[in-house]
Order: sequence, then structure tokens, then C-alpha cells
Amino acid sequence: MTRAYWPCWAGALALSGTALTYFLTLGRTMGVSSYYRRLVDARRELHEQRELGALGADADALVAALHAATLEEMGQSSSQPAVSSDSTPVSEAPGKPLRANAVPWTAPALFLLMLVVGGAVAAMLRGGFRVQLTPGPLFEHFFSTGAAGLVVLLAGGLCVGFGTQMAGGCTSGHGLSGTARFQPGSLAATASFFGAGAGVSLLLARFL
Amino acid sequence: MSSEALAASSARPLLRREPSSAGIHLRYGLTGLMLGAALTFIGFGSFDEVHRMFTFADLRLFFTFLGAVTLLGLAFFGIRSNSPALPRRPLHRGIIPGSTLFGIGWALTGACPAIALVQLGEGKLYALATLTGILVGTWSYGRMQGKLFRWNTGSCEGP
Repeated sequence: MTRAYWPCWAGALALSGTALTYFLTLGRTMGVSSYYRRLVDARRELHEQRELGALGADADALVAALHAATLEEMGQSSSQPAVSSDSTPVSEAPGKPLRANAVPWTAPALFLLMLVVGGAVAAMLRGGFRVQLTPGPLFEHFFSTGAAGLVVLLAGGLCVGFGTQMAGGCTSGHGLSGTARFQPGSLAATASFFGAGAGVSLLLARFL
Repeated sequence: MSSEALAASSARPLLRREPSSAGIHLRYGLTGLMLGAALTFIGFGSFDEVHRMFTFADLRLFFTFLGAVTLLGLAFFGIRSNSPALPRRPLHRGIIPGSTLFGIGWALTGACPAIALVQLGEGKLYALATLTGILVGTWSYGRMQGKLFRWNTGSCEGP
């Protein structure tokens, strides 16, 4: 038998608890649309890392090359050796290649995978796991079954994917973490996507 | 990248020293599991529930979300971290049109980027259509951003 959905307080604790755990253990705010970005860009990232790796393997050669290029571009008066702001000469830095991002793309990709696993586990625990080919009678009432419905889901997905990238965040990044910190961009984002969601849903209910 | 930026991109989490790669993956994986489970238990994976939220027929999901923001806000205030790793999120030109587009898609599919994956986990195979759209949309934006749009969405701060 399917158990009831969680009451407000339980859900609020679970969502905020997750976001807080993320922040405390990783030092940044949770944001799912950025994981999609990393996944989609993974191939390009790997390519860039290989190139950077080849350069960074010899930090001194990199510094020398940049220095030479600067002299060429700016003239002799700009001749200043490159020094990192914490006064560690670059050639004494650990021999790691420069990295585009401290977190490998596989980590956010794992998060996305675990969203699926989490959904599966929870669905089974509450007795709600069921293979479904359509979102249900309400959706079918709006968009009919079969190909038309799938086209709507595809188009809707395009809107979600493109829109969240354009906004630089989604429900977790802007909606949860951003508004909790009173960030102006996130407040505007949350108002916008809730407003648009409500608007479209009300139109669907009214006219379809 | 300046050393400040490098330091910020690998800013120390409050509880742990700089984690290993395995440690980073464990944290991402665990929080992903938590979020996926939470969304299912709450009912965000259901098209009907989301539709009810958006039409104000049942405010449970909305109050859940509001409660989560409040609790998280209190927590952030309590921590009062001015760590450079926390990005400022200004209202750039892409926010309102992008979020509006996202909201339209959410109403049509019942899914946001996280929910589409959670739906798949729940056995809702139709989410594959939604996910295809999300991935193509994400990819398309990446291709267009350099040519058409010239704002910083803040996503350089990374996940």
C-alpha cells in the first residue's frame, strides 16, 4: 500500500537538512543545474585538462613562456617576474597541473546518478515504485497519450534545461540556497519560475 | 587563475580538512541520495502534486518549500559564513527570462532538473523524454552563450 506523502515540517527538515549537509561538507551551495552543465561539458573539460596538464607539468616553462609573450607584447618596461600573491615562487609550487576546477566532473555526475537511486529507494520504501509510461490521467487530459505527450515532455524539458542555464540556477541553487541567503538574483529567479509555473498551470486548468 | 581564485575554488569546508577525491565523491553521492529520497517522500515526483501546488489547490508542497528556505536561512544566518566560496548571485539579465522559461517547462513536465532524475528512479520512464529535453537544452545554451548572450550567469563558480 502506498504511504502518504510527508507533511510540510518533515519535508522542510529533509530539504534544508540536505542543503545544509552539502554546504557543511563541501563548502559550497547545492545547485543541480550546474551538475548538468558539468556533465554536458565533461568531454571538453577532459580535453582542456589534458592540455593544461601538458603545460603544467613544467611550471617553469609555462612561466618563462608567459614572460616572453608579455615582453613581446608590452615591451621591456613590463619586465617583472611572475610571482603568486602569497609570495611562493611559481617554480616552487607543488608539481600539480593547473586545474580548471577543483572538483572533478565525476562528482556532480555521481550526485545526478544518486538522485535516481534516492528516488528508487524512497519509492520502494513508501510502496510507490511503479513503472509508468505517462504522467497520469491529469497530464493525459491536458496533452493526450502517446506521441503528443512525449513531445510536450521533450519541449518542456528543453525549456527547463535552457532556462535554468540562462538563469544560472534552478530550484536548489536559486530557490533553496539562494533565497535562504537573500541573494537578489535568486529572489528574482524564484519569483519568476514559481510565477511562470503557476501561470501556465492555471492556464492549463482553465482552458484544457 | 590567480591564487585567490584557486584558493576560493577549493575553499575548506567548515567541518573537514580538504577532502580527498574519494571524500568529495562520497559527499556528492550521499547528498544526491538524500535529495532524491526527500523529493520522493515529499511528493515532488508526482505531476499531479506539482500541478496542485502551482494552481494553489493544495499548498502542502509550497509550504514545505517555504519551510525549507526558512530553516536553511536560519542555519546560514547562524553560521554567518563570509567564506569567499559562497557566490553572490546578482540579478543579471538572464535570470528573469531564464527562470520564466524554466517555470513554463516545470509546469508542462512536472519536473525541475533534479525531479526529472528522481522520477526516473521512481519508475516513471516517461521522464526519459523530459531528461532528453533538459540535456539538449543545457547543451544548446552552452553553444549559444558565447555568441548570443554575454552575461555571467555565475555558474563559473561551479558546483
